[in-house]
Amino acid sequence: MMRRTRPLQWVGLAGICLFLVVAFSPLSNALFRWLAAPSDIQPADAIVVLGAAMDSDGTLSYESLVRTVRGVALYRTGRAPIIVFSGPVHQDGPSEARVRADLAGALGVPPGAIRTETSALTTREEAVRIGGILHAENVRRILLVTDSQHMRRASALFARGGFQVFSATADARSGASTSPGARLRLLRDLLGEWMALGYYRIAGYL
Amino acid sequence: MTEPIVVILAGVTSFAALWIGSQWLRFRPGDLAAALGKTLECLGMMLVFFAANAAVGLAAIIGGRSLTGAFVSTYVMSDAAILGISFLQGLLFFCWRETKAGRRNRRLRASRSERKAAQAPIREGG
Repeated sequence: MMRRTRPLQWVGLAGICLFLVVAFSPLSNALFRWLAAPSDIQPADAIVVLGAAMDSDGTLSYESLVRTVRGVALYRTGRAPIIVFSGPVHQDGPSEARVRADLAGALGVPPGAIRTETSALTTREEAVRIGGILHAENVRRILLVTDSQHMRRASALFARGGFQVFSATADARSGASTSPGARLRLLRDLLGEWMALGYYRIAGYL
Repeated sequence: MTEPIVVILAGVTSFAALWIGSQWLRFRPGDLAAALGKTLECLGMMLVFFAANAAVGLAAIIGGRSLTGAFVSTYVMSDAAILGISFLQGLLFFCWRETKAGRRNRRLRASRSERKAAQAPIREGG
């Protein structure tokens, strides 16, 4: 007589199948391409570089560094006269925005062109607070710098704040990864962004 | 390049384990299906703990934000350590359940053999 399969075995089997499909097929790459917003770089009034993360000793995360360099490169090619860096204070150390502004200064961006926002902790707060800074300077068109999967949510928030938004993606993770570990990490990031999108929709922020 | 290396590595060590198990340790090949069932069950338990940790963690972060105003990023929940901890919880809980099941089976077998011994005819003149 065949033994009845228990519900936990089905859960385990589903877990194994999901793991194998994600790690050894281009599923997460395809999902990345589907969710990612393409760059649409146009002349703007300001470049807005969204925050990512920073360690308490002032070391920028790779994501934060990639976004900062992208923002500086856009500024140096004359895409906008102002560049805004976002990123909160970590414990007693410097803010992420300050560290990025210092790096931008070292890379040749004049201090007069740099604005910083150090109090926002979420993407929504960034849109509200940076929006306040930029509206005061009559900025209407912004070049938004963040990673591809985050762009859809972030640009919708800034557009709601009355800005014409152009995307300038800065990806710390490649959507073309072929190693199993990189594909698993890619899916983890995509799931996180989907959950955030769902939460923002339910909360009425989008 | 990583993909084939991972597949070859898993294949080689799996075949080695199969050979050691059947040739050296005298495991019965027929027990492999039962072992696979137990593995799936254990993995299922781990995933249940992972889902529970994720749900409770997100609810606590979002609830805590609205109730106390204290900010904790939801990105905390994507830490790989949560997966590791969930798997340890699931493994421990599964082993705990198996220990109970094993004890119950031993008791059942013992009571059955006692019953059989009681029902057996008493030989006379032996």
